[in-house]
Order: sequence, then structure tokens, then C-alpha cells
Amino acid sequence: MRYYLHLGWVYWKMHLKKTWMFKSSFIINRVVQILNYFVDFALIWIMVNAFQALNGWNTYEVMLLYAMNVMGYAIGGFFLDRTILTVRTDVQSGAFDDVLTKPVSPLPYLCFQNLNPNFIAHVTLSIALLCIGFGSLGTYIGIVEILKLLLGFVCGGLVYVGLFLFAIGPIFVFRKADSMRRVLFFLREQSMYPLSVFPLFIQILMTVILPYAMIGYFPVQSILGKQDYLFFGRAVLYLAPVISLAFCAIAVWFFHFCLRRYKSTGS
Amino acid sequence: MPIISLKNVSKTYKAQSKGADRDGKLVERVKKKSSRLIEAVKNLSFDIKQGEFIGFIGENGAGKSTTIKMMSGILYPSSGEITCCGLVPYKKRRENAMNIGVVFGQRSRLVWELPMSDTFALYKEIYRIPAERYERNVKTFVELLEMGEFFTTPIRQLSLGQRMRVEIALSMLHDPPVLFLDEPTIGLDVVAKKNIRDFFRERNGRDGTTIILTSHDMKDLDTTAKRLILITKGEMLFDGSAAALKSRYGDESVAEFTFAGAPDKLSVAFDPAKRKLSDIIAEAGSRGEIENVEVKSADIEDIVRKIYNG
Repeated sequence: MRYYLHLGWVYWKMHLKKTWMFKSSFIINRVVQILNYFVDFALIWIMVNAFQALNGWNTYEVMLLYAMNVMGYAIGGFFLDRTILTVRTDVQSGAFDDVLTKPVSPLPYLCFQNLNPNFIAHVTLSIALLCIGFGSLGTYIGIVEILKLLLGFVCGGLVYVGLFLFAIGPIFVFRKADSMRRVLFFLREQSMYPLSVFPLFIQILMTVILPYAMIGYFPVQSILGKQDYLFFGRAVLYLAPVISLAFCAIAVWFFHFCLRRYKSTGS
Repeated sequence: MPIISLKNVSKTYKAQSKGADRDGKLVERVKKKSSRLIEAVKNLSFDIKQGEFIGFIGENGAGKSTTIKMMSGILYPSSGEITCCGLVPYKKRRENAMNIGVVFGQRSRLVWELPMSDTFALYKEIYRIPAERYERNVKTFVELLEMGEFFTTPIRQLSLGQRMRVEIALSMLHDPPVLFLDEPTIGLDVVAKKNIRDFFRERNGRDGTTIILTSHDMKDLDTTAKRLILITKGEMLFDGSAAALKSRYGDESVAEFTFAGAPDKLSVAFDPAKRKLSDIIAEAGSRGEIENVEVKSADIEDIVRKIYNG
């Protein structure tokens, strides 16, 4: 892993060097990013003021779900958001051959080659929202709550890494598989609301098949001590790390399964 | 012991093809698709010894690049066995990558916005090249490939020939014993091609680097490769020296006559083993006063063209 961290650092330095060569583009991008977050933040305030309660979850509790989701997406996106674009372009052009002629494992290499530091801003946004949410609710935050929160971040990161990997895999086989990302991420917005507002089959889907509930719902529920455990009972709180890890492990296996079916292109 | 060995290697692809109705017209509204198997490589077997310089010949779609991709670990064969430097490339891909250098002439690995020195520094880390060896190799390749004058120029400002020289140096930075070169001279001018051929010959002669070169420019192969492997439609057609290729498929020469006072030239093709040049000149002399005669021996390109044309 030290080797890939080091490669990530080398690529990051190169990325900075390249970025600095086009200063005006860099500045415009940062301004656009700040505007994006401003709009995001404004939307959350509108949401907070528009709803009074969702199935027993008040507006600040819903804000916590949103914040956890942003954090999980930031962790997955930091490693894989740029990777999915690189893989799609390189597989279609045949340039992906180059990765396979290097003495590297493709998955960690791609992750560290394509780190996307723009997601650090997501992390900042998430932490700010968590502080506002917990502060407004007057929730006691001790060591146990911080550990639960960190475990929630890990679960969210694992689920999003898994979702990205499930979206990347088919590109190796079919070359063009843009719809996979849309299919896998279509529940992302829904996962920012309490799971209990959805019908049972969606609850099951978001708990064991595409486990979005592990990203925000169960970690926040555990910290706030809410009792709507739904169909699965309290045990699901303890199973969340296992389900997240299993989902990510299956996604890693799927990535390699598809990679072995990579066909390259004609020269 | 061979450095590369292929035993009964085949590679089959599944390809989608659109269906047609009974009249043979494409069904536009309901596109019926059926899959068909394409055999890109069929039962290919050969051994390559250390230090050999192989010219890999074949028309477009013959299976050259697919074979190179299997030998370099990019693709899995559908059947058969491959070893490269004692390893199965697609099973031990990472270890195999340390033993090979690969250049795909139509694809670039260079960082477009930065000078070559940055890509070299990146490859030093990827291949974990010790600092001393790295410095020595960079110095050697910059000198041999005459890259000093554009060493600090961003890659995007370099010509195609200059970029290809950087690609070649990059593929050899970690001192691989085997070099796969897939169309490395494509699109280059004659001077750039000659310089690159000279470089390959020098590396093969001096370091004993095993080189497998594919090219559609037969001059690349005529002047460098000591052994030619010719494949067509995925099957091997010939494996041997250029001289053996000429002798098997006809070493046809052409004598071109110019006559005094006549604008048209007369070309006579002949096999030097069967007909004497003096007889042909005597025969042509009976048609008029010969002003000039030019005799051209068949090169590999002529022979390969003849084979492709059946």
C-alpha cells in the first residue's frame, strides 16, 4: 500500500504542476466549485425550512442524513470519480492496455492515479452540516458518538466505493456502459431521506442489495437513539459495517471478474 | 531455453452482428443481433531465443497485435500456453511487466502538458528503478536518441518523431530483456524511421535485448529483423529468415530497359535462378538500341504483397 500511496503522491504533484500551467482555468474551476457548494447549501436550508418532520425525523435530523451521504460520496469520489471517467475513455480508445503493461495492480493504481482532491470540499461541507445539525439538536457528542460517526463514514465510503466499482466493471466488458452509473446511483437522492418513509421493498433494497441505508440512516439512527428499526430490528445497526464491507468486497471481486474479460481494441 | 514460447495459442472473440431479413436487407426497426465467434489467432506456436530480433508481419487484422497483447499479458488466450521469461504473462502480469517494454505506435503514454523528464520520473517510481541506474539510462537514451535539445520542452510541443523517441526511451528505462514494438514507426518521415531502426539494431546488438517488431513498412523489417514470422488470418504462414522467405515465395527481379528515341520503358520480371540477365539483355537488344538498363531485386515488401494477393 505504501507503494501506491507514494505513486498517488507523485501523480498528485504532477497534477498540481499541470494545473498550475493553466492558472486561469484553475481559478475559474474553483469559483464554479464554490458557487456549486453555495447552491447546495442554499437548497439544504430551503429543505430544512420547507419540511417540519418526515415520519418522526425533524429537519435537522434529515440534514444529518444529507451530511453523512455527502461524506460517503466524498470518500468514494475521492478515489473513483475521476477513475470512472479515465477507464471509460481509455477502454474505448484502447489506451487502457498501458495500465496492464505496468507492474501494478490495476485497482489501487487507478485509484491513486486518479485521486480527485475536489472532494475535500465535500468533506468540509459534510462536517459543517454535521456540526450545525448536532448543535441544533443539542445531541451529546462523546467518544462513543464520535466513534459511531467515524464508523458511519467508513460504512458510507465502503458503500460508495462499491457502487463506483459496480459501475466501472461493465466498461471492461461492454466498452460503453454509461447507464450502469445512472442505475446504481438513482437511489442516491432517496437515501438522503429517512428509510422509514419508503415502502418495504425499497427498505429491503436499500439495506441489503444497494445498501444506501448504511451510509446515513443507520449511523445517524444509532447516534440519535431513534427506534424505527423497521423490518430488520436493532441487529441491523451492528450488521451495518459487515453489510458495507461485504458489499464493497463483492464489488472488488466483480471489478476483477470484468477486468479479466477486457478485450482491448484493434491497433 | 526460449525467452518466449507459444504453444497452440488461440484467441477467440465473440462479436455482435446485425441480422438480416430473408431478402438480405438490414432489419431497421427490429435490429436482430446474433453473436458470432471471430478467431483472431489460430493455433499459433513458436519459440523465440534471447537476443533474437523478430519481424512480425501480417496484413491488417492478421492477429499480430492480438498475439503481442497476449505475450505482454494484456489479453488472456482462449487456449494454448504462453511463457515469457519463464512466466505466464497473463497469470503473473505484474512480474512479467518488469521483464518487458512495450511501445504501441498509435498510442501515447506521455503526459501531454509536461516535459519528458516528468514522465521519466514517474516511470522511475512505477518500475522502482534505483536512482543510479535511472540516471545512467536517461543519460544514455537522451544521447543515443538525440533528445537533449527538447528534454525540457512540454510533450505537446514535440513532433511525432520526437514523441516516438521519448516513448521508446520510456519503454526501455527499466532495462527490460524483451521489447514489444507495435508499429513504432507509423507516421514518421524517412529520416526519423532510419534513426529509430538504427537505435533498435544497436540495442539488439549491444545489450542482446530481444525485440519483437511489427510494422507495415517492410523496410523496417528488411533492415533490422533477422527472423520473420508471417501470419495471415491468425495462422502462421512462414517462420524463417528474409532469405528463406525470398527463396520460398520467389526471388523475382525486374529489369527495366530504356531505349534510344523511345519514350516508353520495358520492364521484364525474371527469376535469377532460372534465367540469366545476359539472355534478357540480348533479347531486349533485338527490340532497339538499349540506352540504359536498371535491375531491381525483389524486396520483402514485393514478396509479402504477392503473398497477400494470393
